[in-house]
Amino acid sequence: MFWLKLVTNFIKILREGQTPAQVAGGFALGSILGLSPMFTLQGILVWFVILVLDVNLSAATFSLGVFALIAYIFDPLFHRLGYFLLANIEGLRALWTALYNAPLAPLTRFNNTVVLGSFVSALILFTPIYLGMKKFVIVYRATLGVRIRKMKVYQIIDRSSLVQWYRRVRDLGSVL
Amino acid sequence: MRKKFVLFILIPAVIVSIIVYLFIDRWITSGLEYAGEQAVGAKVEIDHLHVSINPIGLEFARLQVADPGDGWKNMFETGKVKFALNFGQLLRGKYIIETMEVNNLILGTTRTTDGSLPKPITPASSSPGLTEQAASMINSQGSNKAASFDIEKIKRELNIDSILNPNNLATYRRIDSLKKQINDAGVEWKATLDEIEKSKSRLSEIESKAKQINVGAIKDIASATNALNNAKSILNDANEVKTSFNTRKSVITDGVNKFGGSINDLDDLAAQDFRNVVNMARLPDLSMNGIAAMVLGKDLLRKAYEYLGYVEKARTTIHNSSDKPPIETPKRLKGQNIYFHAERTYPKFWIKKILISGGTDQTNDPQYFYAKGQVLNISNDQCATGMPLTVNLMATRGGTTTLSFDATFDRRKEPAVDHYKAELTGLAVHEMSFGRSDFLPSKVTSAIADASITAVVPGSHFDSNTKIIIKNMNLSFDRDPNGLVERLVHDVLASLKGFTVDLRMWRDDHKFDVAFATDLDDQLASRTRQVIGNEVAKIQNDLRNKLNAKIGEKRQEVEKLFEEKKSQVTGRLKDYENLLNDKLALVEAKKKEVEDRIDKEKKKQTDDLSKKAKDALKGLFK
Repeated sequence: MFWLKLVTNFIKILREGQTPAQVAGGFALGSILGLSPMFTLQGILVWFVILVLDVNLSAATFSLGVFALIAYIFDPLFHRLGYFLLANIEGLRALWTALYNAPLAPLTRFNNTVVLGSFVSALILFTPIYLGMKKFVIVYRATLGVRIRKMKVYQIIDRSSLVQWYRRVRDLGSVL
Repeated sequence: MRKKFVLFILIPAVIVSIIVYLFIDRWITSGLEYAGEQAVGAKVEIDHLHVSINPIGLEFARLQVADPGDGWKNMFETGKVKFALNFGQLLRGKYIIETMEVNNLILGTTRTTDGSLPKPITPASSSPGLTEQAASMINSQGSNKAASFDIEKIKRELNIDSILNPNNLATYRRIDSLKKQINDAGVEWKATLDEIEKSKSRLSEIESKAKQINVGAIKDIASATNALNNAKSILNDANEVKTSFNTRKSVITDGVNKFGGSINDLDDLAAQDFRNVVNMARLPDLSMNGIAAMVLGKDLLRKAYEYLGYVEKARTTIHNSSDKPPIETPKRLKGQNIYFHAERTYPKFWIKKILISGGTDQTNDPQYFYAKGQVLNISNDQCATGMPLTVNLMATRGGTTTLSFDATFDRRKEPAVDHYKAELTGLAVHEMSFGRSDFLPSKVTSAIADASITAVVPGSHFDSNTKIIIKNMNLSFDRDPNGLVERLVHDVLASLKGFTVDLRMWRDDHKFDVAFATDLDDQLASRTRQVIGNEVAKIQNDLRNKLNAKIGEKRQEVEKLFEEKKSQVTGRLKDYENLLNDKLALVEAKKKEVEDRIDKEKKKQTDDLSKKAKDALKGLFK
């Protein structure tokens, strides 16, 4: 139910409400959380940024779920990237050593191959995800949304018993 | 900025803080117990753990660590333990403890619940560990059988005819082989002598040619010179015959000498045969080497083997750090941690000092126990601390038994090196197994033991020396001795009040080895000689005489054959040599005669010439 609501909220947001920048910002920040392992200092900081900035929370939560799935698939790649950055680039060794022995920095667990590999990947992907999402929201609101709603697949799903049942349950709350 | 952000932050933060406050003690307790159980392999229990915030630290009322070998006993338990963490390093994710105090440490207490854990499945190692090699060594030593010392039984079972069977005697086989070789050589020698015989006709020819030279018929120098050349030619022929003869004679003489040497070598072979015969007769070794090791060694080795398990555990559990670890394949989303230590920085985990003290009540308990000591520099990375893990412990029981234990575990460079030194004095031994189930089973009922042990473990090598002194010993035997050797050992042990054992165990690149020495061997050997030395010597002499007679008889055969062949060959050679020398002398004499004749003729011609010259001069001056 939570995920269904999350998806419908996200689709609703795509249509109207917050600006494309807010939606894209939430989605991009959520991607950082989704790609990186939980319970790291940088994870808390990203949550803090999401909560402080007026970005879309549904987009952030939706993105977290989607990118967590992607992270699971690409985990071996992140491990290799992290190992490469930590162990194979001699030039970075001094930086890692300084960070490792500095206060607070070790709490980010940057010296873990998957944490570093996924965080670096998330940072690299942040701008393309933000720009791509922003563009997508604009296009969706202008033309794509109408086209999708007219598609047979959409109409079949829209009339499906699951969606109808969900709507009844949702509206029940407002009637009461 | 989001307006309701305070609600989003504050409420979760407060809830999280409350949860952490309520449960952190339990979480840390579980974490420490889990880590301890992984390290020890038995249950670790911590009671009443409390985390303090200012200063950040821990304290708990009791720690019990179960013995992995006996789940109903604790390896040790402690009273109150308290320590503080370095807050600055905690911000760096490091757990640094300056001093940890461990009070009321007690070893080997009884547990109320079973502290065993299921044994983890360990992957098979390619090279056997110290304990496995020691175990196989003990088993192989245990399979040694005791030599028989029962003289009557030896005499009864001794079958001299069977032992002196020609098939068992190398001398016999050698003599047969020699006889065949001499016969074969005899045929060859005969053929050679026949060849020599053939040259007799040539010698006759030489003789007749020499006789044909008629010195009386020589009238002038020219005929004399011809006769001389003839004589020289005959002499050359004779010398040729002599050279040929000498070559053949030398071949035959070498052969004869070789066989003579071989016959002399039969003495060494006969001595070897005697040693083999004594072995086959299973006569006991009066030196008694190894009997004490057999009686005492296995049990002591088994004890040492138990402690080797701890040594090996320390070697494998305390790891070295590495600059660049090899890439691993971690579990999904777990990753691999890479550590970046700098000089004079802290490792991830470091307890600088643990002070340990504890014991039972000295006033109420005459067998009170007291222990104190310190453990320095427990860390996950000795390269970062620059210091090895050091353990210094001292314990005493009832004021009579003392134990001091010092150990260092150095992982700062490859290969890792561990040092151990332990001194134990006045240990009351109440029961200790002796002997073996198949050889004089017995046990020490009371004794006092002192021991000193040193061990060095560089990498996979190992070298330890142990000296054990047993004093004030009382022995009881599980059964009456069987046979002479058990009776001897029984008598010697029963009269003993103590002994000393030196045990060295070591492993190099190739194998694990054990050297065992004790002063019991000498005592046993002296006693053995007294009792059975004369009997054993008599049997040995008997065997020797019979063997010598048997070999002597056979030897005569080969010596007779050899002498026969030798005399035949040497006789014929001598005859021919005499003949040859006669002919040579004849030719030489003839040549000398011709030369004398030539000299005489030359002198005569010179005289004639000088007479003619004088006559001519006389006529000139008249």
